[in-house]
Amino acid sequence: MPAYEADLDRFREYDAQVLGISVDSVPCNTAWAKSLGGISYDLLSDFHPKGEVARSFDAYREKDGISERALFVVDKEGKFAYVDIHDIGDQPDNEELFDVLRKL
Amino acid sequence: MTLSRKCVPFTPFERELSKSTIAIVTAGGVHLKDQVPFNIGDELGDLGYREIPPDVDSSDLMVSHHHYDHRDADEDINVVFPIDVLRDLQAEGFIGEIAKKHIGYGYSQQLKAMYEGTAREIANDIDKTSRADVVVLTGGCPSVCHRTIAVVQREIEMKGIPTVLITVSPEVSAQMRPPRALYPKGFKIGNSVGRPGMRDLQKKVLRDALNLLTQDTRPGDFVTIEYPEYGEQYEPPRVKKIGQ
Repeated sequence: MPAYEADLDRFREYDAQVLGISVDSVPCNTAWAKSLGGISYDLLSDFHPKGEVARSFDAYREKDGISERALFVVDKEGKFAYVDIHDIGDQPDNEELFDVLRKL
Repeated sequence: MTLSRKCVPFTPFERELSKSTIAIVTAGGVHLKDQVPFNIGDELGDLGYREIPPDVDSSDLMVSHHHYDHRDADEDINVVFPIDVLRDLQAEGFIGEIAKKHIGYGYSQQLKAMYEGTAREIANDIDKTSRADVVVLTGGCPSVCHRTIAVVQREIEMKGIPTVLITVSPEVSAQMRPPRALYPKGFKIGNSVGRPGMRDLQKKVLRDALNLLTQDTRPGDFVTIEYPEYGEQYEPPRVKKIGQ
């Protein structure tokens, strides 16, 4: 998440809004953001009904009760322009996202 | 305007190594024992850096870093901060001088502040006060430090000082597009320049890294070199590859 924070100005240059979303509650997200030294973009809580948004994005891990580590770029018409579900240990390159945003 | 990382800053090296002054910058948490240690009590890390003088006795150096195993560096600091190796290369006439200032910094997950603050401050400091013609850089921990060191490298290169990174986490460093980099294949995290006490190997690695400056490398090139004398090989940390 700090990597998105570090590149926030570049996302803004592409008129893109960065949002984080997890199945944790708002207090959990708040504590987590604080533990990262603060995050200036919004963190959304997909807490109740738990994982409903993640399910609609096909990114809910029923067995584990958490959402996947995933990246979605949604265009201004609400359509997916990019979907990437990756392992928890992966460190996606933000340049991949900028490549997508550049073409929207 | 912010620079895309796909745009790689590159300063050609137009001198001779034997007449050049070399500085070291490491993200390995190296500092003098009588300097304030990096704050390893805070998970956010430490955004500061420490200046290391050219005449430092390597036994007066230590590591404060909580995100990699630095026992080898505790035994021989040259594995991440090759100051004695540099002196050997100077004695052999391979390089000219040791720079007037070297830099150690440690772990910080405050990437925005690191990229926009500390990295630029280090580059300014090197530019204004080290008299370096070339900077050699090494990482510390596998993920964060091997990214931040490439950002520091890019900032120094943008000052007009050629640089070379020795990375043991090449995929991680590659995401930040360093201008020039050597990957000593199979070296483990914390062994950027080799194992403790293996001075001949350490010299070879540092020579190879510096020689990249005189070769016609493309901006952003990574050169992988095998060193069988290193012994047991280690897999480097992996990141998600583009297109995967």
